[in-house]
Amino acid sequence: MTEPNPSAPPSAPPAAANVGANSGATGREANAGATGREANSGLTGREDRFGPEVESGSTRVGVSFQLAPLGDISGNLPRLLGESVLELVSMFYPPSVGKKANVVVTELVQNVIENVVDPASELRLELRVDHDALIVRVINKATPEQFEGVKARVDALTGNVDAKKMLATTLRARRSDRLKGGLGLMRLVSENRFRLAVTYEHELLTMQAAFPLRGSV
Amino acid sequence: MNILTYGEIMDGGASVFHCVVREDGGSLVVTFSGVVRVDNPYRYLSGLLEQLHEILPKAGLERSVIDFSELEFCNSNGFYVIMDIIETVYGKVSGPVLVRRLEEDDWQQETLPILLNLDEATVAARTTFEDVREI
Repeated sequence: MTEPNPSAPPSAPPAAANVGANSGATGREANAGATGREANSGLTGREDRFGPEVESGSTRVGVSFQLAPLGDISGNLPRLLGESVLELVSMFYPPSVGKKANVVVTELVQNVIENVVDPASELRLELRVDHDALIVRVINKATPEQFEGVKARVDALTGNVDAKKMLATTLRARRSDRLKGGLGLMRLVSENRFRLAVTYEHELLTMQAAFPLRGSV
Repeated sequence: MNILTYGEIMDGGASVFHCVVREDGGSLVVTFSGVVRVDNPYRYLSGLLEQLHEILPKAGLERSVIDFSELEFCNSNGFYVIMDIIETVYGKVSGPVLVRRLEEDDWQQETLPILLNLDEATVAARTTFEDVREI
């Protein structure tokens, strides 16, 4: 993901992906963008710049990814993105943080793909991790009804709630029909201790998952 | 050690997940390895479940080991099929169950006990955990 193909032909499919990563550890920044027609990666040789002497947790890493139209997705995009952020974050942070990035990106992107309202619309993913927190935002087009459904699930998971018990109860209740809706969000809270927030503006639903790191890395 | 059956998930043309079911000295050994990331794992593992229902009652096994230590990732789409495999093992093989899991994996420490249904007293009484460090 961090090494876009600079030789992609001009006739590449009308999907667009942009990836940027930056590390504040050395005061340098690296950005890579690829539209299928051009690519400029500043990541080449980063292995030389960031050695094991970098203190774990002092690095700021940011990734932004866009893809449109969503109808072009034919492979396992959640896997691709999840495993990519796992490798990227684990380069600078303990494996446990990389695993959390993997889980949250996989589940949130999977949710978008399973609930596409407009195949021509766009998916945006933003990930940021620094000493304070791991924060992931996923933005996609949604209907007001979809937003209300997601908001109800998020509201149910916030506050003084036993998310683990809720996950257990939901799994048992829905198991006979193998209904999935909401399991991913419950898992992010009960298993990974993410704090969820959802907003809706101009037909775009933004799901944010945040995990505080201060003092833990 | 005899392999009784196995299941496999293919993703993007590659084999990404294996569930191998073996008999070893009177024990049933079920090993999960790889990643569960596909949207419908039943498409790949329903045959394994059917075979488990057929094979296990006749196998005459007295205890079970369920090993998750090589399972690297399981998305929420995989929860139900893992529950089905676990429940089949508990239901078809009597005796104690040793669950081997990773010590530092949120899914294996937090969600796996839910999938095992440890709230059920009879399940909890039969289950012991062995926490192992990731290599």
